[in-house]
Amino acid sequence: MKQLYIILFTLYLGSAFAQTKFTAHVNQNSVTVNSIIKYEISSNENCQIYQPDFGGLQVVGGPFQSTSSQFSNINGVTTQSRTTTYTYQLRGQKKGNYTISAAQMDCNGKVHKTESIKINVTDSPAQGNGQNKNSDFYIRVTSSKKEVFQGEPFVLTLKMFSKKQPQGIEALEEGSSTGIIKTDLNPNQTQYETKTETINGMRYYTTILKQQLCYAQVSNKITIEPYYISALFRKGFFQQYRQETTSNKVVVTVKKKPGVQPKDFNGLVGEFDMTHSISKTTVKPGEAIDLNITISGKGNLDTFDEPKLDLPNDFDQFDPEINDKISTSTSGISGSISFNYVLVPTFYGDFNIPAYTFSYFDVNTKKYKTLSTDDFNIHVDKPDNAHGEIITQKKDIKVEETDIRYIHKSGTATFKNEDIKSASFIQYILITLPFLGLWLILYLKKKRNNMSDSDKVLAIKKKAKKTNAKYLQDCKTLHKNGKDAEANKALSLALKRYLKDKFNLTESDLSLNKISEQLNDEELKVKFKSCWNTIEMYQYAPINAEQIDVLINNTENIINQIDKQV
Amino acid sequence: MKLLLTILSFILTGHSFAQSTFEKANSAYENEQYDIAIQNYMETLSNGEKSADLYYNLGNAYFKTNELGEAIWAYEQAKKINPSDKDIQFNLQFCNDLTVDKLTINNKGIGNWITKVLFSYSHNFWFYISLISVIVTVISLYIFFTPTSTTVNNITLVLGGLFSLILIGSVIIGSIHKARLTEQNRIVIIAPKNKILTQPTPESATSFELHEGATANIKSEQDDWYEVELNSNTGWILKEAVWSY
Repeated sequence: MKQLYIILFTLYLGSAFAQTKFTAHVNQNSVTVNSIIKYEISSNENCQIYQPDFGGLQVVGGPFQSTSSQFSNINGVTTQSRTTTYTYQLRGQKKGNYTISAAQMDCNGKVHKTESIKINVTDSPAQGNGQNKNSDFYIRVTSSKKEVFQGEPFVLTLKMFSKKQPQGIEALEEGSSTGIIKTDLNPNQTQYETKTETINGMRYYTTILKQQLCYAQVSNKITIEPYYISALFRKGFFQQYRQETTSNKVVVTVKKKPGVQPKDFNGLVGEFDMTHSISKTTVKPGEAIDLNITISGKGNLDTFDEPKLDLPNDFDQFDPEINDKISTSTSGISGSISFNYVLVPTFYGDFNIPAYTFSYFDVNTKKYKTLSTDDFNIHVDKPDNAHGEIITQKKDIKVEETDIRYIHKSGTATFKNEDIKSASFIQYILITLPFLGLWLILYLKKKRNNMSDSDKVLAIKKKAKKTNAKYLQDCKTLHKNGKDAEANKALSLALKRYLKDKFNLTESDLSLNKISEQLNDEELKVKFKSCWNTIEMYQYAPINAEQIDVLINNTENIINQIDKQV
Repeated sequence: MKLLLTILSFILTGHSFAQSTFEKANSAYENEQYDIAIQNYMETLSNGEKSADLYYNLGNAYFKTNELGEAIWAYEQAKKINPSDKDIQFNLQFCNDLTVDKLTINNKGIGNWITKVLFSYSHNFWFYISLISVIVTVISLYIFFTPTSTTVNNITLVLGGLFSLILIGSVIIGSIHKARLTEQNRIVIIAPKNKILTQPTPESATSFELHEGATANIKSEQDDWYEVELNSNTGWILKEAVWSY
């Protein structure tokens, strides 16, 4: 029975040992900004542990693993419990509420979870707290100036005070700040020089950890949030321990600059000087001119913008070559910056480049000052070559028509709809008529060609008087000119021609008898015979004007009578 | 022949240009008295007399008085008479760019080119061409039918054939030109904003809207309404809201 109890108890214990412990906890729930929180996860099992989400808290250190073992001997039974602890160092960089989610442990598929933890991060403690907290170890941030002008440099110095000699700096975090530009004076520092100072009767080891050159960019109060460091000290001979602290807050007032800000103020604050040089002022087109502008002095030279020169259109401009010799020290930025311009005129003539000016704020006199170069007057010679020595691109003529074109001053003649003759009656008439006329002419021509011989003879007979009238006319003309003998001959010809046509006679048939046969009227026959004979007679006898006159009249009468009769 | 010349000379004498009114209007325009200029230009037009320059200047005067629709109407009229005038084209384009509605206006292409080539001459150009072709054709035919050498025959045959074709062409083109100058088959919107209705009744539904200066083709008309078509849409609009050209 007793044995049974022992067995049962052992079993109970066994189950008790088998129970898994998996917890997470922090050392404080409510902390100030940049204070360190310790977060620990402990487990008695050797299982896979998953790190939780820290919800925006920064992990400064860890996880540091530690193991503790516990032996116990109960009733001669020895048991061993082993606890593994993972420690994280966390801090909140901004005030607010943070939640560390549950950590998870996976033991052969069995998942264990811790509870999530809420952390409240409050505002930084008042200035000087750093010193009060750990008076044997503290850091201080100091500013070289409490009041600055915008753009005026000041130096922030981070100094560590400790009663023990520090062995090393494990971590250094800058406090956040807005509205300033910080430049480390020793950006890659690895060795720190430690001095001894006596403060309030106590000896301290002091180390300057950081020196930063700052420029205010806004005109307001600037707050530099506390810096954080974690330093190592020696404890005993072999052991080291860690100490952490945060610094004080620094407030710097940025003053407004007195006076009215000039238009060409470019943000420079300090003391400056400007020099300029030009290689030549008389050139030929296409020849390069070197123009140098150098700004030197103390102040925020690194923010200096490239000078904008107002160049004439006929100059080609290239980006300037910039040379800066700037050094940064605790007294600010100093040195010089020079701009080398290469100008190439593309056309001849006299050109003016207006002076380059800028204003800066002089910290010593607390006034705006303006620096200016001279005007540059450049004479470009006309090229010897008539066509010019350089080829430039043809410039487009820009046309922007923004209005309608002007009225037509001289108008062409107006017309009415009735004036349009196309597709009108008159057009059809004028087109048809010529064709009709052509048809008519061709028809008549054809008709004549188709006449029979007798018809032709008849036509000749009909026209006999008309066609031969010109011979009679010739005769009359001759008579008028007094050539009576010739007139008689012509008269004879006229009569014969007429008779030939009229009676369709051949040349040989032209005799008095033959013609007389054709005449029916006896009286006419007699008249004709006498006329014919008279003409014949005068062929061989002289004739006077009176006689021929009578003769022509007679002949004419006879022709008329014959024409009527036949 | 003498008769023909007499007829021709009678035809050639057109109506005298109302020069004094035109110059009066121009000087009013120069003095920026655009209303007076419009009045004077319109006076000539109301007599039934017209010319491309007259319409063009009227368009300018309308434009200067901010009457965009009327200006486009006048430029379109001017373009009908002289489609190749660069000033008219420019000002019309300028006004069309100012209108609200986006219309598909085809200013290029072979059709437009043919229009410019055929209808840029005076209103009786094709009439004279037809008369000249008649004369040449008839003379050629006469010579052709009169027995001469074969060479002459061939030449006159070709000449006669060519000019008879020109004759037919000029008669057809002339009648098209006349229709172009006398018929009105398009409208321009004069009223600032218009509803184009589906039926020629004021109560009917709106098909689409048009703003001042938009142009459209007339499809048909009924009482006080035009049926118009543009961008392949059709609808009815009151005659009083538009000017036809």
